[in-house]
Amino acid sequence: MNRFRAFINGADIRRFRFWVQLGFFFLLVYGGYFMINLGQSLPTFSCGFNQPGRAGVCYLLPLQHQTHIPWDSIISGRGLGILTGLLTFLAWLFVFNKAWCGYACPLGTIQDWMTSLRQKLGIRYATYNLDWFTRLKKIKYILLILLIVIPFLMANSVAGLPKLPDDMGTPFCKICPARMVIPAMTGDFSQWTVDFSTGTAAAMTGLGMLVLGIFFVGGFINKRFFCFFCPMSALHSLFSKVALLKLRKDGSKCTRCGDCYRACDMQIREIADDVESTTLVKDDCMMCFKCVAACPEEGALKASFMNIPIYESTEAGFFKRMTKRGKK
Amino acid sequence: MSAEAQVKQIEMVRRQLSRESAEALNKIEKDFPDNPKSMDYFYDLYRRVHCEGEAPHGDKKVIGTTCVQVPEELIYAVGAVPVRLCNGSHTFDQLGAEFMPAKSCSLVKATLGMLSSEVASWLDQGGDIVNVTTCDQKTKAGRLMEEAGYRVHHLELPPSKESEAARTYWQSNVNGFARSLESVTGHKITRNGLRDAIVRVGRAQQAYRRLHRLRMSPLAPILGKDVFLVTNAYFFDDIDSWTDAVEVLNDEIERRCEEGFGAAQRRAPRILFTGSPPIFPNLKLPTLIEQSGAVIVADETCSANRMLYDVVNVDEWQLYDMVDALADRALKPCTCPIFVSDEDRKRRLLELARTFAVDGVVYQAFSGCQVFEMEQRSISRFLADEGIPSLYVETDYSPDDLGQLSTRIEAFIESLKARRRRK
Amino acid sequence: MTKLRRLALGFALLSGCLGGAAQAGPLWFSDRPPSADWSKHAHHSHGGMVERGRQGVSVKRLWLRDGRVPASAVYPQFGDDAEIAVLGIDGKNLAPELFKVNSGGGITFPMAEEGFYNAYLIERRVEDDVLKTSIVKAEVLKHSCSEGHDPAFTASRMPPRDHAGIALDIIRERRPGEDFHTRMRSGDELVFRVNYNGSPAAGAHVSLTTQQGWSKQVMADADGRAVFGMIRDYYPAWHEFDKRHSEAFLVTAEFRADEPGELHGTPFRQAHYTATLPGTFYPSELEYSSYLVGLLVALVAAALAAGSVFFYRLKHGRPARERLQ
Ligand code: SF4
Ligand code: SF4
Ligand code: SF4
Ligand code: SF4
Ligand code: SF4
Repeated sequence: MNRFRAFINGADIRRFRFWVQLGFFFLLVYGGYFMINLGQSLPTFSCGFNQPGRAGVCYLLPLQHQTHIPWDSIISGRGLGILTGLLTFLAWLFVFNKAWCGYACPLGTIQDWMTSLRQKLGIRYATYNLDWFTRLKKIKYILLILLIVIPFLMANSVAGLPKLPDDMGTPFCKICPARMVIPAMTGDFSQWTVDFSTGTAAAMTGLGMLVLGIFFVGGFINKRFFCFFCPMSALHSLFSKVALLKLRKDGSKCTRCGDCYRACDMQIREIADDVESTTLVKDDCMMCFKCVAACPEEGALKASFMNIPIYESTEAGFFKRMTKRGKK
Repeated sequence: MSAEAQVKQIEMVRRQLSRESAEALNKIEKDFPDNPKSMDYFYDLYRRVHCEGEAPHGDKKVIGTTCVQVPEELIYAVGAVPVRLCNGSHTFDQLGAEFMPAKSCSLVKATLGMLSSEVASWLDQGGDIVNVTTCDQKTKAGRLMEEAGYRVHHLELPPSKESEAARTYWQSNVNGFARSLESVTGHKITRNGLRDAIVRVGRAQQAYRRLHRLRMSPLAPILGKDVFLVTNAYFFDDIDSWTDAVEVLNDEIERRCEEGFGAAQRRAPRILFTGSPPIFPNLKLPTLIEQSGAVIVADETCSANRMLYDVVNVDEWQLYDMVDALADRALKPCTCPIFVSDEDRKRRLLELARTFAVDGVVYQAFSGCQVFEMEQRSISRFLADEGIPSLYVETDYSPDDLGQLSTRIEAFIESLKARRRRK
Repeated sequence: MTKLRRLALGFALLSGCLGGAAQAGPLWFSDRPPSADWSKHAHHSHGGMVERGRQGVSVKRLWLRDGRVPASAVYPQFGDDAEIAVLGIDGKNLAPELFKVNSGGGITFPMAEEGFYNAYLIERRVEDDVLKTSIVKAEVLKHSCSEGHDPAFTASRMPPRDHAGIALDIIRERRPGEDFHTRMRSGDELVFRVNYNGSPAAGAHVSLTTQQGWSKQVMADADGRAVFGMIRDYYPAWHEFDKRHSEAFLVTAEFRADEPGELHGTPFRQAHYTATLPGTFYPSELEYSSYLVGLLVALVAAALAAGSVFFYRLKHGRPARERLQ
């Protein structure tokens, strides 16, 4: 058992992640061809526009449909639909927490591949300074609120204002880079257009293509550029406290050496500097556990599932990884 | 002074130095029974370098450093060797008194003394030094070194490490240092060169950490005075031979642990040493502690643990990331009292005290070392609150206070023993 | 056999010419209400207009229409002797309700389950020794996104059904990859199959008429198939363009058979069948969406982003520039 533990803790998390991510990428992007269907409420960007390749649908898509609901029918079957959708979403999240982002999300994986490419080319990454970091990180919550409120305002007129036009439907999907990127993985470029049928449609789809362009540059130069603004991540973080998978920290063992902070693609400073909290899943965290692999202190950081540690920082593991990676 | 008189004086200093070193070494080696066999490498090393004045690095390019904050990997990467100049000899302390106010730190005085004397300076002709602007005395000492004719790179350190601004400031200073290393040596820092340097230092740290961990054993397998000697050797020894020697020592210590062999008595109080760094030949306090029947099982000083413990993690093995990572490794975990906050130091002490089942803490402050003196109150209060007895010792490099010190230390150790019995 | 077919063609053309003006066009079903008042009861859903019935079950209301051109077809009352059948998902007969109001008449039926429903109205009469049968058909989709999109389920409900009991049946073939959301659009190729008593009605005259009256006639091939390329006949001003603008089209099949017989005691020498099937189509996506502009926008955005990163590093990033690369 101890040997097994040591083996796991000495694992090269990058390699492991690479393969798991690749597996999920194939599952979620091409699984539909094999009649795999994981339902409508996946807490990850298994883009609904990727048809028929998708093996399940990103929860944000049905959510934006469901919130397009008139007041009076909230207490009906349709209201119930919202509830069951949310519960299924929560069930998925409850088990794997934000690891959906670090291990499963196809858009996250694509960003990681862009990062590897940049790294191979030897181009320095960009980071936000702390000011911008705290300012920009709120955007994902604003997007989350908008994607719920806009469809609702399409179906209801509030305070006597006219209803929003129909072309605002699924507003976040319109600007979500996954709508263009993920179907393109199955050769479907039909989303790469600007829709001129109405002014609203042209504005929304034009904005979408704009975001796509920025996504490619941003994702190349900044690690997990898009995830920082992703409303799915915001939605996760509302519920991540109760999930079974956790990232734990023992502050007394931490030297605040910052090794974990350096490894963190999401620039989460607290992972190194917070020595009080015992659970450290910050709202940007994608539970990649790179920080655990980077930490040289025995048991300072660990990934645990239902309070059972599954991957723990150890000195031996740290040096094993360092020598291996430093040799190449 | 005539040239002849100068030569004479140098000769005198050299003799005095070698006598001081030999005495200290004898005490460390001969006054204790059952030294590990593999310590001979180190005893021999000190004998050659300190007593006989052998230059440790031959004709390699040497860069002097004055603090653990200097990322030595960068120096290896330009094909040079870092040598830590912080000095522990009373002879040089006296020489250096000429440059510094009366009530200043022995360590800084001794370092200046060594650099001014042309005796046993481990530097080469270039006389290149990187001095970190840590405490006031060191900062100004950098200027004095420059006046003495050395080429000094002043590596600016922020006075607090909490803010991101401090971190980026330090990172860019370290990058600047890397550039100046390149121009001083005429060697470019390459990706492969730096990577190899990081792995090399990492290997040394791994060896140190293994030694550190072995000392957790309930029956102390090695005495603290030996470990201080080992870590001190890292100041000037060739890094690979040092690492190999430590690994050999580790193997022997591990065997001792398995055989249940203790370097000290079973009941010997376990001491955590903190404060101003013991540097050979000034191992006065550690030797005294262990002569009085206690054993030093861990330390929090920049001549040992703080120098070797914290390891660097590189995420992208490219220059841009490696250099910044080295900067972070130096700054972020450092528990040096020159920084505003002492929280990290407290936590580190507490964690060491817990994991090494420590009975008491000895806090050494060189008289004149303001920062360690200033932190003493809060640290002592903190330790008392945690229920850990501690002894604060203010001393310097002169042997004059030996008698008074040994009485205090014996009393402290007795009280620790009594406390143990009560438990 | 060919001779016979040619003969049939001749008859058909003749009857078309003779009857066209005098006789109103074929009967067909439509879900477009005749008046704004009626529109209020219905709402849009996938598969057309539906009303909300008891316990929230969707109810389809199909109006009888008369006239070949959808835009101008009238809403007649239907004869009392019409046979009506609605076949549900499982092919079982659902009992439709008839309604007659001032503005027209038709049938309603509930659609509890997801999938396609087939509604038929059949009228027969004998005229000049010829049995004239009108088979009015509508194929209606029930789908609501709130019931989910299980692909296996959708696939199982997709295939069109042949009803052997129907004398002349028009069946719309599914488009490749069709699902509950698929819309027919200008530019698409639509395929219909015409069955006579369960087997291909080769040689049947099949015509398609769009909302505005464009029409095309073809002859069903040996497999009973007729293929139409949907034209574009929606030309609004740019700012009035609506991609959700739907127009009706009407498919009519006529088939003549030399089958003497009698209907309620009246003998006939020949039988003449007219079947109708309506549909809806939308403007082509190519009319309003542009790859070129999309790509341009993305490229410009990418170039601007890359440029600003580059210049930021060049100018602002002092510390970045000091860094080793
Ligand atoms: S476009 Fe984005 S938000 Fe919408 S379904 Fe696809 S992945 Fe989800
Ligand atoms: S935060 Fe990133 S990984 Fe997570 S769902 Fe959004 S895009 Fe995917
Ligand atoms: S790597 Fe480990 S020891 Fe270092 S700051 Fe992070 S948690 Fe603390
Ligand atoms: S905090 Fe750790 S697990 Fe979370 S994103 Fe950063 S490195 Fe990954
Ligand atoms: S006491 Fe602090 S400043 Fe002085 S050498 Fe040690 S770490 Fe550096």
